[in-house]
Amino acid sequence: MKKKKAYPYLLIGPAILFMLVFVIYPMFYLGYISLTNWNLINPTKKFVGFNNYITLFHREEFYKSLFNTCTYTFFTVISIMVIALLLAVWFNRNTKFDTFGQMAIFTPHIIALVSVAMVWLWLMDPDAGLLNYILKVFGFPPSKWLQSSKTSMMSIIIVSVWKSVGYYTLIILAALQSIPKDIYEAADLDNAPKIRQFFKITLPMISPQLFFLLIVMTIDSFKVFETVRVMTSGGPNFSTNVLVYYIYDNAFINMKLGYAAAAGMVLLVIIGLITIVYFKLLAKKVHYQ
Amino acid sequence: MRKIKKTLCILLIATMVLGLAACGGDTEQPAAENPAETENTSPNTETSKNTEKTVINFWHCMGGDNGERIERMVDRFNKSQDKIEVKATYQGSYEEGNAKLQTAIAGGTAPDIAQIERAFVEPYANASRLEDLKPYMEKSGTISPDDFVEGLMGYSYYNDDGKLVSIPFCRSTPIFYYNKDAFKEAGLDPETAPETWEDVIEYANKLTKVEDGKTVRYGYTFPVATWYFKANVAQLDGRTINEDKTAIGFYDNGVGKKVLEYWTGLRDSGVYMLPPTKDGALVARQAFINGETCMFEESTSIIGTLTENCNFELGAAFLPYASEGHPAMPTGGSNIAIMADSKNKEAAWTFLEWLINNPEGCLQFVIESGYLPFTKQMVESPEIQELWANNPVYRVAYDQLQYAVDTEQHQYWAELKSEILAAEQAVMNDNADIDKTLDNLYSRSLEILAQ
Repeated sequence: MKKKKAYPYLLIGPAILFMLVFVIYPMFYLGYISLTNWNLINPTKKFVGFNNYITLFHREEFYKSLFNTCTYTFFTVISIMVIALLLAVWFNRNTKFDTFGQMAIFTPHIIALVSVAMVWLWLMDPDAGLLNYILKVFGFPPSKWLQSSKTSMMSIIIVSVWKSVGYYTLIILAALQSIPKDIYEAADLDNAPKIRQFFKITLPMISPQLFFLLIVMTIDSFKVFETVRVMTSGGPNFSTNVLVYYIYDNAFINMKLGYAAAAGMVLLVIIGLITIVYFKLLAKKVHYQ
Repeated sequence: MRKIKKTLCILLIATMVLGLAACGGDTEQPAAENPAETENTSPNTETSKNTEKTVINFWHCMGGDNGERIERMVDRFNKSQDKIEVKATYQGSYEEGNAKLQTAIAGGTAPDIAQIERAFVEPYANASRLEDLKPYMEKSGTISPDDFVEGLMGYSYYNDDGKLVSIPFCRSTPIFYYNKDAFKEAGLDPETAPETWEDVIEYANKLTKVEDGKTVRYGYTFPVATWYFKANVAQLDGRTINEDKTAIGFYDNGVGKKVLEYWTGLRDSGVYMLPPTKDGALVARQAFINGETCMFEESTSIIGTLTENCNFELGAAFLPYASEGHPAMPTGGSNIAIMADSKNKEAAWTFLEWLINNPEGCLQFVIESGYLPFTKQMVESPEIQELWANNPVYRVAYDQLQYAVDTEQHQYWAELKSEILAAEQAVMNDNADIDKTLDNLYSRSLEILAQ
């Protein structure tokens, strides 16, 4: 009898061990570092209490990076959600063209971001880039893309959306194909228009998946780093300086690990809060089968 | 059936736990290796066999052509003797290398020798992570601190007791390059480079070509970076950080404003090509090689690349200065240091000494790359003298060193640097108001330097 009770714990043991070593311990250690003025190379860690947090909340550029991150997250999540949903509905017919379309839209996801960034840096060149050429052909004024604070964030968002929209399309597509066909047949018998079917059947049926994607995407976007690092290094004039880049910059370039850890803790709390809010507000609207 | 499932589960768990244990074992290995190596080389055990070499880890930040040149240099050292084996590892750009070095120090796996971008030397020195090289120099007697070229020693002495914690290695300065063929074409004398800002504007106007309302060739460019800004500030007797180290040293005296007005003036007149914020130096360099811009400022470390790739006659001169100022420029590049935590400092010094003194060492690297010779012996060597006679561009780079001024040494320079760069971008890319931008920058500098 006793043996049986221990058995499940034995089974989850390895996973828990991984969690403790690679997630829980680093999290607490991060909290500890954020209370010191350590810089990785100092032999001693001086305890400074909440000084790092106080400085952090008085720094204008911290709020700027926070604002930039929110802007990025908001537009990226909404654009990907809408575009991926539309594409998925469009590709949900299983013709030869759809298979090709699915493959094509997924390719950006498997290309290394550094190569993607290189191509986009060229496309977005204000003088010699293809995008400005196209704008000119259609009679629009050229944009400065990454070279101006006004358009740099938009440019980063475009690249991010282009890169990950295919991946999310496939997930939504899988969800669409799991909807039982008889529901649609019943709706057809009642002469329900397609638009109505979409809002009354499709959306509710895939809402659990959409809800999951919303959380994953929000957390992912909040942690954006690579695109910014490769394409702008946070510039021009800090206009694309997002929270994780701010943390990296302070930890490794400015050599203020304690301060960066404090910013990291704030990021942790923000992401935690967003997740809780999502669950409280949206979970009730999600239709589970 | 259930029994089989159960055994299978337990087997799986066992392999996972074993896997974890193996993971832990891996990280301990390098630490265990080091003492063994030091033992092998200590004189007591050396008698047994000479085949065991002391391994010296050397982290550098030279990629591309210069990376290969470093590898070749280390190979030459390894072949020249049989006691020490130097392992050179490329760690990415200066910033990436710096990030890795910090992490390695915290993790106890730091290399014996590291190449450190000059501005990052101070934090390491303050944390006592760098070995004082003076005693080693005194002991070996082959080189003294006075033998190094003076203009390059701005990042070597630290701590109150004046420890010599790093020596110049891959050092450079910004220099003015121009396309002699384009000069001839525009009716300018290819042997006289512009000396002052006014000259540059005049020359750039003559060199710029506009066809159908589109600029096909720009007269002038330089990357929007702190390096060129610091040069212009120094030319007008400003300082990057003031003498008390409390704020920027180009605010009260109006120097910063003058420089930025000169920059925006260049940009607005249409003779200056504004390089992108990311990889601006690379883009400017490529534009110069392609003949899309005729004059530009960049590091002396690319003389080799330019000589190889330009299919026109290359000219070089000192950086142009404001007519009410004087020639001046900062230095750049990186130093080399022995880490205080190294277990093989003697062997590491042997390698450094070879680098400094042996004609096969850094001298060869300097000649191949275009970095500056950093000891007086190197400068006087027949090899360097021959190089200068054959390619006067190299000589210009060295001669300019007499005007070297470095005024940004500070523990938090990196943080201030990104603020200065942001201010430059605000003015150049976003057309922000110069006075307001400098007001902001000044108050930020007060905060940063007071930490």
